[in-house]
Amino acid sequence: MVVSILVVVFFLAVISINGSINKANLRINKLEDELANMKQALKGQAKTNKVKAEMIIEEKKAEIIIEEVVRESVKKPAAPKQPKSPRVEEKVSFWAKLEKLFAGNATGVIGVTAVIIGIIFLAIYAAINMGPLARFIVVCGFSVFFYGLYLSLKRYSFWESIALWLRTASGVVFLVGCIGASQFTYMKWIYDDMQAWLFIVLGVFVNIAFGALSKKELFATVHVVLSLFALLLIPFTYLSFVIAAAICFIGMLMTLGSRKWDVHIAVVNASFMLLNIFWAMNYYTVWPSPYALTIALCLFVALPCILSHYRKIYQGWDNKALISHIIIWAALGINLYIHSRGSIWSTIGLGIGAFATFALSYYGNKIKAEWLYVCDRMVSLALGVLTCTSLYKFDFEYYQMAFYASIFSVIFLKLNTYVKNKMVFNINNFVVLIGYIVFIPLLFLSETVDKEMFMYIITSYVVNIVLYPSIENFARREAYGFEIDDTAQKGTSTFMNLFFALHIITAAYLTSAIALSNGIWFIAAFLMGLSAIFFKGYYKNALVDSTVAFIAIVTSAYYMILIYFKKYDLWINVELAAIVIITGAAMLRFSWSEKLKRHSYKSGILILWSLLMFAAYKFTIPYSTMLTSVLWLLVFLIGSDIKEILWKNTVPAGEKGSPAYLITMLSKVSFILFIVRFCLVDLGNHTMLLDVLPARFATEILSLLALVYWMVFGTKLNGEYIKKCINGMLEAFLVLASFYIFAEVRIVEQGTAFAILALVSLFVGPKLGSYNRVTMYSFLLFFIALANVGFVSSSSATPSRLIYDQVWFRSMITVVLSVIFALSAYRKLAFIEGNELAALNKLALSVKSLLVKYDARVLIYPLFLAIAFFLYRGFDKSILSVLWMVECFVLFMISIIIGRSEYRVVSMYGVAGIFIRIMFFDLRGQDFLIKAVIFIIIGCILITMNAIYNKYKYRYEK
Amino acid sequence: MKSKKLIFLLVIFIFVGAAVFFNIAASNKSMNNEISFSNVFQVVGNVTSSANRGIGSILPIDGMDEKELGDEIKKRYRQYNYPHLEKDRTYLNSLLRNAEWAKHKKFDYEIFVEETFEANAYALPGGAVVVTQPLLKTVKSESELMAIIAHEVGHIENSHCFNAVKFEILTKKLNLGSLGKVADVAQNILLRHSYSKTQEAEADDYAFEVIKNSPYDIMAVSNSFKSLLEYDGINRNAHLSILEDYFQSHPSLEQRIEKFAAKANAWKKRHPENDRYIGRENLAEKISFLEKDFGLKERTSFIQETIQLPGQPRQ
Repeated sequence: MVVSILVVVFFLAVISINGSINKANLRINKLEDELANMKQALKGQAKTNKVKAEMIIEEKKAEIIIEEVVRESVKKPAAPKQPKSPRVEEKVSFWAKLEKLFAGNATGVIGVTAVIIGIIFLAIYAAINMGPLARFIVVCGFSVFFYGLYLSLKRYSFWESIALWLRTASGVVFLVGCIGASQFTYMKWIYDDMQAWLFIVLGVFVNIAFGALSKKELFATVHVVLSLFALLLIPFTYLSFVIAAAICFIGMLMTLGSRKWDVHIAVVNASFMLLNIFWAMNYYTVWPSPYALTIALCLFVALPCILSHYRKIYQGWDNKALISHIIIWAALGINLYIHSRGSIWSTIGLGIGAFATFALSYYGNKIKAEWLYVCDRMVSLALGVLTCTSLYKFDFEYYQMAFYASIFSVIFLKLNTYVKNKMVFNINNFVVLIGYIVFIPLLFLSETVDKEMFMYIITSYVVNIVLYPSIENFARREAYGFEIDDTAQKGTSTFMNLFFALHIITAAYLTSAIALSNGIWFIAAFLMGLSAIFFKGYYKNALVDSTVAFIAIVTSAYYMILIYFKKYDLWINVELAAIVIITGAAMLRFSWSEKLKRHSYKSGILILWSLLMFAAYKFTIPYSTMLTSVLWLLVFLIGSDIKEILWKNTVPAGEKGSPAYLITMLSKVSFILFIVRFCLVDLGNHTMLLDVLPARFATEILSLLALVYWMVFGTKLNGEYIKKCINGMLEAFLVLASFYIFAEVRIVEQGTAFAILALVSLFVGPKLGSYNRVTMYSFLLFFIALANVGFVSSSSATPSRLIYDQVWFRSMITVVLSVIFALSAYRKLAFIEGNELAALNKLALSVKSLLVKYDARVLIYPLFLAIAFFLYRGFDKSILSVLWMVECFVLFMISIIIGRSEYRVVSMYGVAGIFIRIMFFDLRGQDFLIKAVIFIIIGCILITMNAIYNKYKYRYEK
Repeated sequence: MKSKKLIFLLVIFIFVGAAVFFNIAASNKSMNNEISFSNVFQVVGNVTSSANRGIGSILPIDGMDEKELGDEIKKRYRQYNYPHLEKDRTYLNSLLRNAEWAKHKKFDYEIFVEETFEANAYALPGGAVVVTQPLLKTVKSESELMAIIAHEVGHIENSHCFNAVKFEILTKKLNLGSLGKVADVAQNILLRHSYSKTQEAEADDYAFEVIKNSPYDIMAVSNSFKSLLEYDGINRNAHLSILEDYFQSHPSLEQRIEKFAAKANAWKKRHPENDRYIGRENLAEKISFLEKDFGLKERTSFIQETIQLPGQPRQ
């Protein structure tokens, strides 16, 4: 049909183009006629009109030229088609595919599910005051509402995905309503069984129809699965099974045509399997056996799905289809096992299945679907082996079952030589070897030894003798089997010849066990050994030689052990290593000048300084204990300018023991004394400044300003030692500021204080020249702020009803500041990771190396972790899931804005974890209204995330 | 550059001037002019206290677990509810409602009275507060008693008690026997002293906030420490070595008195019109002022109704 339409369109195009050309030609002819007539007219006219006439002629000529150009453009052949560039399959990692699947699809699924659950809760909450019929109508109303939303949104490409989800929601809500009309206590208004089933079928039909109409694999899957699970809400009967089978069958029908919906078909079968398991766990003892109907339904579901893969669109190798096919087989196997437990007829069924699958696999080979041929051939082999093992129901011994399985697999291997497929052959070969590894020891381990065993080993040996040479020849010719590389021969082998030796040894063992009763068995064993030597020589396989010798030695040893009844208990002592303790210590390196130069003015400096400090103490105590600290700070402050005066006026100016250096040291001592006094005395002084702040607040600010003054204005001198002394004041400033924060600020506000300090350091840092390493320290302050908001302040309490006094409000301020820091720091990362930072010490270097190594992760992960903990501790558990979901949404948006897929992945994992939390925690013990609100909000967030992801996923780097 | 320097110096000297002026103009006769390491330990204890809180935040235990432990503790203490202590207990529990209104923990508080020789009060995890009988004779008014009760509630609300037994709660939850108790004891021996003063300071601040948001005398916190100091009779923290100071679980009473007196005076200056209840008679009669003056036993919207009520401070 499509081809016909295309042909028609093609002809229409040709006709229209032709028409255009004809029209142009007619026009040209007409113009030429007019021109000829005009020329004729000109001949009879006066000369003065000739110019005018020639102008007109020129115009006509121009028109003709234009028409010709038009004609040529219509006739212009189409631009040659660019050959299609060969499709390059991008290799995408498994986790990337999984994440894409989850983000692109599953969030929408989960979101719709959450919205539906929320609506159910809302309906339950609202329905308490309504009658059952009214509740049913309300639910149907919701369904209609969703469908209406779908109709209005489907026109817009951005909302297309959401619209489809809304239609899904509509279908599911309607289905739930139909089921609830007869099953749910508060919505039950149908009491007749027939009517109840009609409504259920109607709901299922609408749901499935939506799935089919979507023509998209994901939605079809969702609808089918939800329909199946809806049946679990009804007490299970045979009719449930029939409906479930019908749903799955229709689900399979949706995949026909040119569609390759492998995931859909696998999920449908897996869901049907889960339904069967559910039935087995809950209803197994209720129904009588045999379960002919249920087995028939299982086959009715699975066989069409299996056959649906036998289409030419599955040619070649298709991993996805292979996995889907295996899942279908596995699901069918489990379903049949559930429904046929204990039945002795399963052996026949397995046998028929093995035979049928073997035949079917030929068709797979015929349509050149190699994966299908391999899969079904292996399934056939597995079914055959299972048939043999199911003989236990007929009281077969283990070795007998193993014998049949081994013989079967050898015959199977022979049949596989008629179709050249290396994978099938190798797997089958492996199964053969395993079979014999199981079969032969079972003979040894059997409780009784009799002649029948001997018959089995001889039969096995004969089968091998008959089939082995052709199989081995085939393997070596086609290079199938295991690689061998010994001096005698290179190539491949099936290694079945190894078991010749085992057959002989087993026969020898059995002979020794029964020889006393009848000597003829010795002859049989001898003949077996002779044939083995013949074959060994024939194939010249040195590996066989050594294997035989090895097995002979082992067998001899075994006999010796048996004879002497020695037993060896093997035991292993394992000792754990001891715990390693790592201690560290920090060393402050003091660098003092070893010898002060004995210059008089230096002694004077010392004496003056001491007097100043003592006087500051002595004369201020009567007035206030805190004034001493203030004056000592002033001494520290003025030292900065005094040293410059000394630098200019004394020699030598820049040496370690110079006066300027001495002043710097003494200033530092003043500052240290101030710190000591402040800690030991002033911290205990609670005099208030303007009745608002503690008076020591002014001293604290003053001390910080003094340090800044030194840092900014104190390094003008060129002395290396002096610069070194001053350089460390940056760290002193930060440590002191932190100390003040701990001392003065309440614990709930400490996070805010550190966040502000971090921000100031970050913004000011790059402009500070040799102190720009403070940018590194800003990150440490940022981490402290986060630790406070996430782990510390949430356990504080403030006895106040005012909102701005609440812990969560104060912590929110810290969070906002931290977010601002993170955004600002992200923009400065290039500067930080560059080489413009000066005078980095070990701490700053370690922070920088952290940033270089982990980039923006250093900002984002701690921030979001701290916020998560803050939310956990600071808010009621009933809304925690919603808050965490919002946080994941924010992280998700950040990933889109900055184009980093890693954060999207993390946010998706967070979403998954939160949803698990919702299922296991939020559902318990909460009011329906709260549950409804939580689920609806979370569902909307997930749907929005899904839509945004699908729209903006191009932004992510590859 | 020179102009920047001048501006900077100007700012600095403004601060210097402010510091000098206000220190001289303000009350400069500090009660405590002695050197004390207590304040430094308090500040440094912030770090270990925060770390302790952080560990408590990470562990999979919450207020409901504390409630379970608290219920067990209360059950045990109820065995000692002797009839002759009933009046004291009822009175204290009626006062407790005044501190409970701002609680964030999801359990109820209950006060028990203990017969000992020492005036003391202590808090236990899960909402149990124990007050000894001599304490009722040590304090001089209901407002002071209220301050002490609020202090103990502050310990519980700030999760100090919870963090002290967090490992025990955890191992109990996981049925791992008494391993948690051992861990708690070890932690308390090793680290508790580093932050016990910090926690006391937090509880004091909490008590002050409760008193501030109640109709009680704003000086109650400071006065309660004064009463305790008088009861003690000696200057407990004088002349202590640095090690002795470290192992003191509380900051010195003198410092606490000064701190909260300063805060209270500052608050009074900002709210000169605000009259507060002291409650000496109420303490003597063991009837709370709300019950005696207004006949109210159970309160919920305490602040709104009582703060706005006119009246003189009751003696």
